[in-house]
Amino acid sequence: MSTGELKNIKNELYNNKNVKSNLTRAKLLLAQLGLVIPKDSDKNDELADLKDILEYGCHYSIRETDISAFESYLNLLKPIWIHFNTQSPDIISLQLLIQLIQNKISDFHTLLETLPIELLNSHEISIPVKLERFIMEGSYSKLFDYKQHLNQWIWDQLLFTIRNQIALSQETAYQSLPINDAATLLYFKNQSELMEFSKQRGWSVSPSTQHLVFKQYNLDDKQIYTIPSKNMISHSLNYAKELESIV
Amino acid sequence: MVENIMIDQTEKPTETLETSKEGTKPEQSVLAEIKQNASLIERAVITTETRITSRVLRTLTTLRKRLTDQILQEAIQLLASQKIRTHLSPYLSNDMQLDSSSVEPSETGVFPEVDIYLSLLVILRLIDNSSLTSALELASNTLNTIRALNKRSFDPLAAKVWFYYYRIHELLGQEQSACSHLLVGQRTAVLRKDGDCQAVILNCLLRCYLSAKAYDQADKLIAKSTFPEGAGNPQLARYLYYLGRVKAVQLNYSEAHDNLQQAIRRAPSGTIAPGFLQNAYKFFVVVELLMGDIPERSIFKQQLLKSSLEKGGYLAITQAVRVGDLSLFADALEKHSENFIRDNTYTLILRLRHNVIRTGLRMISLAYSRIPLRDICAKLRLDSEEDAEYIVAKAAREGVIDATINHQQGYMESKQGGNIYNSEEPQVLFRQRIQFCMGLHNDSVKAMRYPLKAKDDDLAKAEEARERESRLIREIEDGDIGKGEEED
Repeated sequence: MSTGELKNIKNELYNNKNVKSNLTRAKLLLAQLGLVIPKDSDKNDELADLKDILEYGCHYSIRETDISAFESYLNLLKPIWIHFNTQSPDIISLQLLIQLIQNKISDFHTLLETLPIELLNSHEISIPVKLERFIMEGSYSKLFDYKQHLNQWIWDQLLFTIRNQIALSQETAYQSLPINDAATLLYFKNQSELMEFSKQRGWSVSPSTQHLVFKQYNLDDKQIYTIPSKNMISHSLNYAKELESIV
Repeated sequence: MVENIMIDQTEKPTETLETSKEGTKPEQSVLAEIKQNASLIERAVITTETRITSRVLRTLTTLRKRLTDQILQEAIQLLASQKIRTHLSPYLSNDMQLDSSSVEPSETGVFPEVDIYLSLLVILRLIDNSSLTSALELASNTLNTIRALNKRSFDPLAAKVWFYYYRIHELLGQEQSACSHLLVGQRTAVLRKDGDCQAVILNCLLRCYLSAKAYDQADKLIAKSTFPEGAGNPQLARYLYYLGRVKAVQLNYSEAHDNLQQAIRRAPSGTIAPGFLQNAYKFFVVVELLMGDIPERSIFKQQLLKSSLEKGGYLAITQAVRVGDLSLFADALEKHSENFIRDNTYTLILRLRHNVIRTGLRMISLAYSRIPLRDICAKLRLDSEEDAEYIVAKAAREGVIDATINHQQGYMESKQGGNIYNSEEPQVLFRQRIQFCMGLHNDSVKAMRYPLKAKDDDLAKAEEARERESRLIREIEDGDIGKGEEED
């Protein structure tokens, strides 16, 4: 009975009918059949259907821009993958992209490390890998070569993350920047977006020269070197204590 | 005591596929050594000094090479208890035709510890003969016996049996199936405060997880467990090595660096464990490169490491990073990629790419006080000037270089490095060194053992104390196991 039901759900999903309710129903069935942690192989048909449904769910939640839903589908999917000893490269690729967007570079690498070599060389995985490399290097303009490979929403999110990275770099590397150049460097289409962004980061605009002045340099001028007296005292006391215990 | 052994194995002896070897006279010395070891173990049990047992186990590797079936058969006939004897001998080839009934061993003098030791020797022999399935069977049976008897004097022996138990699984290619048993063993060891087993099993588990590339699980295991303090240096070195590998994958390079360095320092000398040192150094070199440092040339010159690091391509990679040449790096990577994949360092090395660029950039910023971005582009072989600007900006943020960019005129200007003695840097370094020295001092104080015969009355007191202690232990064991202790 449940097999037929799963098949129905799958068919309806592939025809984009009642996606949300169908996905919920599939998750319920997954729990009712006791397949959350698949053990025996006699329910392979159901599991295969569930795998397809959950993979669909992953794609769907990305389209709906719901990262937490994506992650929950993925968590349900993983035991089934282990059971069948397969992994779907496009979903892993999505997961990697999401980790890039969230700037979770350490998770990104841990995940990469667990992938088998064949998968690592696949086209789907190679895209996030290359993107990460460009981001780490700082060759941000190369990212645009991959724009057409990505979902618009993911691209926007990625750009947002990168923009913050660039802004951080600019604060240390430049004293000031002409407004127009700053807009191009940060990939803004117009100046008003830049103005809003700079307000958030606390940059000031000098009206006479039309330059952005970064806040760190304002602080730097006034920074006076102080002796870290508290630190020094605590360390010296610690040394004294240790010496006493030795002697 | 012998009567109290609860042996829960009743299975039929399996056929062994061993080929027997011709025995020669030097075997007598091996037999004598086994005998001596057995008596040492007995002494260890009587005096409740597990240290002596550990000393016996240290000779295991040298002894292992000289073992033959005949020697073991003889040793078993001489030393083992009745039950163990009938249990062990079927595992070995039996062309001596020793009539077991004719030899009457002194039943009263047999300690279960000696039985376990002999089982361990047989397990080793079986592994060397690659009769793995029977080795596995014997190992799990031995572990069951140990578990049932539950005596502290077993601990060092049990640790060794656990180690080989996992090793057999590995040789059979069934690491994953050992995992659950290991976890159970780990729990028991922790509850019994059995430091030896704890250390060994923890390492086996980590090894198991790493071989399955389950870094998350390994990380959780590390976070949830503590490495026992009493465990020996070799186990600690192993643990630190695994720890370093996990941290390296998680981009926690400085911690990984510390762990690997400690692992290398604590590892046994190169003659005993060359493979471990070579592997540890491979990771060490990569992690050091990832941190933006260049490993010392002397590492690559060491006799032990020279060939493995050079052939493995680690020298080529280091040179490429040092010069900051991307094409050299790509060449080395391509040429040695198979090696890196085998060593599990491939993905780590892939991460090195941007370090190559950074080192190049750092050298440029040191050499020039002002340089156009276009020239940087040409020197580092970057594709576009626009990217060069971002790369320089990023390097400046991460503190690789101390420079500013002038966007309108398109050049990078290095800041004049201030006097380092104006900063806190020397103090920080000084503090680190003092801390290291103090740690060393404290550790050595803790590790010191004082001989008991400093004074005669001291000795008498110590003897008395030990007597009391051993009586106490015996009473505790009596409560658990029953009566029937032998006098010593």
